[in-house]
Amino acid sequence: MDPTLGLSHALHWIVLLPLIGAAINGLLGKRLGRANVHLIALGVIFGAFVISALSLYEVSFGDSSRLHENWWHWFTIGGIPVEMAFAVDRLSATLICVVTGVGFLIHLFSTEYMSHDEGYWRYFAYLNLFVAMMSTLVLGANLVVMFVGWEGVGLASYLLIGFWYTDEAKAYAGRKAFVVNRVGDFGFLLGIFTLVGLFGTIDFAELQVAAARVLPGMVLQGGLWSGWTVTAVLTLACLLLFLGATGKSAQVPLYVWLPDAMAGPTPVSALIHAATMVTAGVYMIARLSFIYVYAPTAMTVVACVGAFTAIFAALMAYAQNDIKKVLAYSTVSQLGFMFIGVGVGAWWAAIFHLVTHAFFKACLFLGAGSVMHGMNDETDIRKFGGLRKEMWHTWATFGISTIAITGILPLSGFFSKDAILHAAHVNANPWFAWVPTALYVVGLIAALSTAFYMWRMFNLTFNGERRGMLHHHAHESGPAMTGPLWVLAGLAVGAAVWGFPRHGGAAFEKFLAPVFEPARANLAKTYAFAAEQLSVAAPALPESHGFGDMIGGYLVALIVAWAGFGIAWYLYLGPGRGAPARIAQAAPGLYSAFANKFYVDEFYDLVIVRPLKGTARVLWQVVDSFAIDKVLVNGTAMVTGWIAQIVRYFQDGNVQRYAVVMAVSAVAILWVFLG
Amino acid sequence: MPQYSSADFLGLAPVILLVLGGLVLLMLEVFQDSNRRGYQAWYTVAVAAIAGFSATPMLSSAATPLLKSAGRGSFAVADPFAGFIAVIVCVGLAITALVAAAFLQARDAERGEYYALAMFGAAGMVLLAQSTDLLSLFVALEIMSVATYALAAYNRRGTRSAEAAFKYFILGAFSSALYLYGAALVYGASGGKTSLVEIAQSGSMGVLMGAGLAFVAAGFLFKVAAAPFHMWTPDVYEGSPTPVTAFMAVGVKAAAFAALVRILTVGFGGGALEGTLGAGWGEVIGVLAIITMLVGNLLAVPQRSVKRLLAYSAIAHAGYMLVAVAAAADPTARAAAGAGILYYLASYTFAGAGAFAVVAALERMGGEGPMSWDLDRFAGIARSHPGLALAMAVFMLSLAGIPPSAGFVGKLWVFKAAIDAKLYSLAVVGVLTSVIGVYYYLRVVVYMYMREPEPAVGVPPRTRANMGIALAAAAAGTVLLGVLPSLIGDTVRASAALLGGG
Amino acid sequence: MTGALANLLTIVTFLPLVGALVVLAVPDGKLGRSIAFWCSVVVFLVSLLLLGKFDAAAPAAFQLETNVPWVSSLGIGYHVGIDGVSLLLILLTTFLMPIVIASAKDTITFRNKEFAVAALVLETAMLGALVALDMVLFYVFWELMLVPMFLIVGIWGSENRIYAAVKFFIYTMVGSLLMLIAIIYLYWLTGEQTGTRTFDYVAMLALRIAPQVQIWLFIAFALAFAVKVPMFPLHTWLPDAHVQAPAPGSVILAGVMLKMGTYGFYRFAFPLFPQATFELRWVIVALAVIGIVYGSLMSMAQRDMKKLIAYSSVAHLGFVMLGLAAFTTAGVTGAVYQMLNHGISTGALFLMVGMIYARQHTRLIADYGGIAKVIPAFAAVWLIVTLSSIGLPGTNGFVGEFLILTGTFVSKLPGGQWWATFAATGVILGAVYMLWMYQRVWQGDITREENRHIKDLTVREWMVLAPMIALIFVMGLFPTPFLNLARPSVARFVSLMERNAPELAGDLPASVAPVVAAPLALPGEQRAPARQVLEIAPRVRPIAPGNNLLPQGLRPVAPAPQQ
Repeated sequence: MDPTLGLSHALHWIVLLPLIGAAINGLLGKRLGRANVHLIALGVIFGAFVISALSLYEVSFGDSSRLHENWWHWFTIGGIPVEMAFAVDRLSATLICVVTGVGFLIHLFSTEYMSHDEGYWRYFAYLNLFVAMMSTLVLGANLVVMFVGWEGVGLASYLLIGFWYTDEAKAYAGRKAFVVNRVGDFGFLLGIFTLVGLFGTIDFAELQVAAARVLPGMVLQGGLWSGWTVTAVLTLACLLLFLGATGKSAQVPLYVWLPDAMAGPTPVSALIHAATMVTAGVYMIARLSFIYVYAPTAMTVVACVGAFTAIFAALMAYAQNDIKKVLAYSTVSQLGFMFIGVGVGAWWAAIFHLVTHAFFKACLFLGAGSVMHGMNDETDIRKFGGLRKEMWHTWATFGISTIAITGILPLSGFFSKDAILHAAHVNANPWFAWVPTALYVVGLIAALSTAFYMWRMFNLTFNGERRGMLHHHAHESGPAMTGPLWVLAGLAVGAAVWGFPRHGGAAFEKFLAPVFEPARANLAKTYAFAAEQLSVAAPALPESHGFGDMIGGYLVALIVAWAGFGIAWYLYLGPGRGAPARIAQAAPGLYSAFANKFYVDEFYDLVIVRPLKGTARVLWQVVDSFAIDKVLVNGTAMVTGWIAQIVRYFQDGNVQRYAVVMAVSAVAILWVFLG
Repeated sequence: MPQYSSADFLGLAPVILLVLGGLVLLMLEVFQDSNRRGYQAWYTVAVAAIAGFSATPMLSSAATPLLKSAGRGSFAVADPFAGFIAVIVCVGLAITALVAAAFLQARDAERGEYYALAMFGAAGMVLLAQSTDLLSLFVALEIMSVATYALAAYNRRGTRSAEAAFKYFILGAFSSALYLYGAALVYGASGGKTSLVEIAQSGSMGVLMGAGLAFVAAGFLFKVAAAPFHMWTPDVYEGSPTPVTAFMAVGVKAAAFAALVRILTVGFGGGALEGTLGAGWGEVIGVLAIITMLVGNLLAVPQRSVKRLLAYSAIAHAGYMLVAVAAAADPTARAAAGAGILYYLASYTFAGAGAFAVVAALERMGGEGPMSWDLDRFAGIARSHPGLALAMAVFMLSLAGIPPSAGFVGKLWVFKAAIDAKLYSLAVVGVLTSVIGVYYYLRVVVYMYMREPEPAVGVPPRTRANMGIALAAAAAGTVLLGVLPSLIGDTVRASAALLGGG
Repeated sequence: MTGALANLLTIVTFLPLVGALVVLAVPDGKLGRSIAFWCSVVVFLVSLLLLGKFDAAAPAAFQLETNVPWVSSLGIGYHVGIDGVSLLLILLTTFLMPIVIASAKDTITFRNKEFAVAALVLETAMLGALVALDMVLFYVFWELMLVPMFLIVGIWGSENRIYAAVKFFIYTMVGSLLMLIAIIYLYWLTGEQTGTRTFDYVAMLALRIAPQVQIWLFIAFALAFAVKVPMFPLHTWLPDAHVQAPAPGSVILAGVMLKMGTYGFYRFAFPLFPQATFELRWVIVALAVIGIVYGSLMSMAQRDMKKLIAYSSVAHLGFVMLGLAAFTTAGVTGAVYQMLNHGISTGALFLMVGMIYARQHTRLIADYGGIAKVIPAFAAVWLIVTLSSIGLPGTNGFVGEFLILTGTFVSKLPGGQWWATFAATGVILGAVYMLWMYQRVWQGDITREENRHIKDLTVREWMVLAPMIALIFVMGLFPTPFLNLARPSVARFVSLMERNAPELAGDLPASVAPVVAAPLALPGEQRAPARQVLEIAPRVRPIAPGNNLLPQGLRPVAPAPQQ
C-alpha cells in the first residue's frame, strides 16, 4: 500500500514512542541501569524524529499537504465530537522536527551532563514525557488535543524544574511555573469556549472552513453570541487565547515563572525553556492565524505586548550575573520578537525566528551547561573569565550562537530577526497607524540591548582573565556534550539559507505560504472591512520582499548589532573596564532596580499572593468557623438548650403548683374555646 | 333494669377475662406459699393473650352497641377501634408483666397483687376504649386510675414511690373532678343526655356545652400527659417502679387517647360547635399539640436520668398523637387521623415499653438511688451487654422516628393525617421538634456505643430470662412494624374507618 | 435464573445486608471483616451483571424495574429501577466498597465485627437510595444511611468524634425531615389529581403543581440535598465529619454519600419542580460557584490534610452542581462524570491520608516535608491522584471539568459565560492548594527525625490503590463507554427541563452554522480513515434551513469546499 498513507496512520507513534519510553524509564528505570535507560530514552526520541522527518518530507514534497489521523474518539461535548486526532502540515511538521530533533540532541547531551545524578532514570522519564506532550501540542488537530499538550508540557516542566525537589526553592519554582501557567490556561480554556459558542467546533480544519465563511462585520443572529459582530467575538476569543500564550510563552504579564524555571537542570532549560515549550504560544497563534486576522485589535495587542516584553526583558538582562538568568531573560525577549512577528502578520518570520532561536538558544544553554559542568555548577559570570583557553569547543560554539542571536551577518538570527522587524515596519495597520513605527523603534532598541548583554556575558565568561575560582581547573566536556553543541551551532549558521531573501520571498516564506494562505484571504476581508469602516483605501496585503527592499533595514540592523557589541567590548574588555561598577555606585537605586528585575515578583506577591492567602485565612476563621459554624449552627443548638433550662424551672416537684397550673390552663382553654 | 344479651358478654369478653384473671390470681395467692410465684408473670401473660385474642373478633365485626337499656343510648360498644386498643393494651400488659417479673424477682418483691392490679387496670383500659357514655367512661376511668395509683405505690420500701403515687393520686383526683364537672355541664346542656351519640344528636350546642366539653377533654388530656396537664408525668414516671411506669406509658396513654378521640369525634364531632364557639376544638387541640411537642422535647434535652428523659419523651409523643387528634377535627381527615393514632400507639407500645424495660434491666447496676438511671450507667454497655444495647438502640431510633422502624411509620401516618387536614404548621413543628428528639435519643446511643464504661459503676447484672424475652418481643415488634407496616396497616385503616371521613 | 436476574437490582441492593446478618452471627474478630470484604466483592461482581442487563439505547426511562406494593394501605410501593446515571453511581459504590473494607485492616483496629456490619448496612442503604423509585422507599434508605455512618464516625473516629458524629446526624436530619413533609404533600396531591394516592416517583412526575407551591416543595427538597452535597453555606458539618471519621469512613462519605445530594437534585428536586427550579436556579448556580471559589480558598487556609481535602470536596461538588444547573447535555454529562471522578480521586486521597496517618499518627501538613525522598512510590501515587484532582488532561478530572465548564459557558443559563468564568478560576485555585500541599508534605528537606524512616506502600496498599490509579487514567482517556451509559438519561433529563422552559434550558446552537461536509477534508489533505477504537458519535450535523444563522445579506464569500 501507499507508504504515505501508512505515514498518516503512524502519526500517533510520534507521541506514543516517547510516552512508552517515559513509562518504561519511570517504572523500571531504577532496575534497568544507566545504559538501558539512555538507550530507551534516546531510541524513542530518535524513532519519533524519523517519523517526523518523514512526515515533513511528505508535506513538503509529497502530494498531500496535510496528514490527518483520528487516533480514537475521545468524548463528545454536547453534539461536538472531540477526537484524539493529530494532523501534520508544513507548519506543524517544521515544529515537530525541531522538537524531536533538538530534543534528541539534548537527550544526548544529558547522558553525560546527568552522569553524576542518581535520579537519572527519573530525569529521562520526565524528558521523554515532555517530548510526548510537546508533540501532542504541535500535532493536535483540534483545540482540545492541543490543550492536552499545552497542560502536559506544563506538567513536564513542573516535574523537571522541581527535579531536585529536596531544595525548597527549586520545588517552589516548579510550582510557581505550574500555577502561573494555569492562569494562562484559564484564558486558553475560555478562549476555546468562546470559539465553541461561535463556530460549534474545535477542529482546526473545520474552524478554518467556518472562518472562511464569515465576514468581519457580520452581526450574528442567534446562538450564544447573538447580536455580536464576528470581529467582536473573535477579538474576545483571540485575547483570551493570547492570555494562554503569555503564560506558556512567558510574556508580560505572566513571564515571571521563566527566570525561576532555571532551577531545573540546564539541558531542561535548553529544551523546554528555550527551544520548544515556550514557543508554544507563538505556534498557537500562527496555527489560528486565520482567526486572528479577523481581530485586528487582538493582533495589535499581541504585537505590542511582544514588543514591550522584548525591551523589558532585555533591560532586566543587563544586570543579571547568573549565566542562566541572562539567557532566560534573553529568551523572554526573543519570544517577544516572535510575538511581534505573529502580531503584524509576518507569521513565517515569527516561525523562522522560532526555529533559528531554537537552534542558537539551545546551543547557548547547553554551552552554559557545559561551562557549569566544567566549573562545579557555578553560574555566576563574575567568577568566570578567560574560559576560552580551557573550554575551546564551548567557547567556539557559544561564540557562534552569540553572533547568531545578536543578529550579525550572515548567521540565521540576522535574517529571522530582521524579517520580523522589517515586517513590523512595513505591514499596514489601518486602525492604529502609529503602531508599526513604534514596534520598529522598540524592536531596534531591544536588538541593541540583546547585542549588549549577550556580548557582556560572553566577554565576562570566556574572555579576559579568570576572576573567581582561581584554583579550579575547568575541564572541557566530553563528546556527548560538545557534539550536540557543534551540531546546533552548525544549524544556527546553516539555517540562514532558508531566510535569505530572494525574489518572491525567502525559501522558508515560500515553504510556509500555503499554511497561511487562508489567513491572507481572511486578512483581505478584514482590510476591506477596515476600508469601509474608516473610509480609507484598503491597505495592501503584506508582500514578500526581495533583498532590494530589505537592504535599508539590514544596514540599520547591522549598525545596531555592532553598536551593542562595541559597547559591551568597551565596558567589559576595552578601556572602559570598571565603568559598570562606577555606574552602579553612581545610581544605586537604578542599579538595584535592574538587578532586582524591577521588583515585579515582589509586586505580584504584594498584590495577588498575600491578599489571596489573607482572604483565605480570614474567610476560614471569621466566616466559616465563627459566623456559620459557631453562631448559626451550634448557636441554634445552644439556644435550644437555654430555652430548655428556662422551661425546666417550672418543673419542681411541687404538687400545689402543678394543680394551679392545671386549673389555670383549664380556664384558659375554656376562655379561648368560648371566645 | 337493662337486659344483658349474650352479645354484651361477647363484646365485653376482654374486660371480663382480665377481671376474672385478676381475681383468680388473688385466690391462688391465698393458698400459695410465698416462694413459688415464678408462674404469676406467665399466668398474666397467658391471661393477656387470651383477653387479647378474645378481642380480635371486634376487629373484623361491625360496631355493635353494648349494654343498651330502654330509652337511652348504649353504654359501650364493640367496634374495631376499641378492639385494636384492647389488643394494644393486652400486648403492653404482657410485656410489662414479664419486665415486672424480672424486676420484682430481683428485689424479691414478687406478689400476686401486682399482677392482679395490673390486670384490673388493663380491664379498665379496655373498658375505657369501649365506653360510649359519659357515665361508663367515668367508671372505666376510675377502675383504670385506682389500679394504677396502687401500682405506682407498689414499691413500699422506697419513699420516692410513695411520693409519686401520692402526687399521681392527688392530681388524678383533680382531673377526675374536672371531668365530672364537665360531664355535669354537658348533661345539663344536652337536656339530660350522657350517651355520646345522643349528645351529638341533641344538637343543643352552646356555651354551656362548650364548657362541658372543655372540662371533659381536660380530664383525659391529663391522663395522656398533654401539656399543660403534663406536669405530674416526670415525677410520677420517675418515682414509680419502672415496670409500672412502662405500663402507664403504654396502657394508660392508649386507653385515654381512645376515649379522647371517641368523645371528641362521636360526641362533639358534628361540627355544630363551630358556629357557637370562638374556636373549634380542633384548633385548641392543635395549639396544645404544639405546646406539648415543644415542652416534651425541650425538657428532655437537659435530662441526665434516662428514666426521666423517657418520661418527657412520653409527653412529646403524646404531642405527636395530639396532632392526629387535631386533624380528626376535619371530618374528611378523620379516618386518616384515627389510623395515625392507632398506628402510633402500636409503635409506641413496643418502643416505649421496651425502652423502660431496658432502664429496668440496668436499674440495679451500682445500687439503687437517683443516680441509678443516669446516662453514665449506659456508658459502654454495648461491650458488656451487646444485646441489651442493640435493643435499646432500636427503641431509641424508633422513638426518634428514624426508618426503618415502627416510629418512622407512625410519624408518617400522623403527619399524613395532618397534611390531609391541611395542618401544615403542625406538621412542620412536628418534624422540627422531632429533630430535637433525635438529639437526646442519639445521646443515649452515643453513651452506649461510643463511651467507655465508668470504672466506678459495678459490674452490671445479668439480664434475666423473662426480661430477655420481653425485650426480644418489643424489639421484634418495633422492627417488624417498621419493615412490614402492612402487617397491621389494613387493620388500622379498617379500625379507624368507622370514625368517618376519607 | 431469569427470575433471579429479573430482580437483579433487589439482589444487588440487599446482598450486603445478608452479608451483614452473616457477620452478626460470627464471633468478633478478623473473620467478620474478611466475610464483609468477600461479600462486597461478590456484590461488585453481581453489580457488573447490571451492565449486561442494562440497555443504554432502550427507550424506557427506567430499566430493570421491580414494582410491588409494600404498604398497600398507604400506597407505598417497593418500586426500584435504574437509569444510566444511577447505574454509574451504583457501580461506583460497589467498586469502592471492597476497597474501603480492605483498607480498614490498618485503620480500624478494634471492634472489627461491628465495623463490618456497619459498612455492609451502609452499602445497602446507599444502593437502595440509588435504585428507589418510590419516595418513601427512597426516604427510608436515605435516612438509613445516617445510622451506620453515625456509628462509624462516632466509634472509630478520632479525638473529637462524638461531636462530629452527632453534628453530622442532626445537620442532615433537619433537611431530610422537611423533605418528608414535602413528600407527604405530594402524596396527598396525587390523591387530589389522580384519585389514587401513591408515593410512586413516576406518578409524581406527572403531577401539575402550582408554581408558588412548587417553590416551597423545591426548597424543602433542595435543603435536604444541599446539606448532603454539601452546598455553601450548609457545608460546615463536612470538615468535622471528614476529619474525625476514620479513613474508610471518609472514603465512603466523600466517595459515595456526597453524590447522594447531587443525585437527589438530578433525580428528584429538578424534574419534580421545574418551574420552581427555574425560579430559584440563580440561587443554585450562585451557591455552586461560591462553593467552588470559597471551598478552594478554605482549602488554601488549612493546616490539616483531611480538612484540606474535605474543603476541596466542597469545590468539586460545586462544579457538579453548576454542571447540573446548566441544563445542557455537556454540562449535565460533565456533572455526572465529575461525580464519578470525585469519588475516585478524593476517595483515593482520603485512603492515602489514612495510610500515612496509620504510619505517623498525624494529619498536620507541618509535621511532614521532604518525605518523597523516603517513600518515592507513595509520593508518585499521591502526585498522580493530585493531578487527577486538579483536572489535568489525560486524567479523569479533566473530562468532567471541561464538559461542565463548556456546558455552562455555552448554555442558555443567563450570564452563563460569567458563571463559567468565575468557576474556571477554581481550576487555578485547585492547582494552587493541591500542589502547595504536595510541596509542603513531600518536597523540600526532611524536617523531622521521625520522618526519616517511613515504610513505603505495602502490597495490600498497592492492591487497594492500583484499581483507582488505573481508573484515573482509563476514565481520563476513554470516557466514552462510561458516558454512553449515561447519555440517554442525560438527554432525557435535559429535554425534560427544556420542555418546561425552552428559552432557559437545552443545548445552544453555534452562532455560526457549523460545517456540513463530514468528515471534512482540506484541499490536498490526506486523511487516515478514523480508527474505530470506540463507538464514534455521529459527526454529521446537517444544517436545517432555519438553522443557518448567517443573515441573508451576508452569505459566505468563500463557500465551503465540497469534498
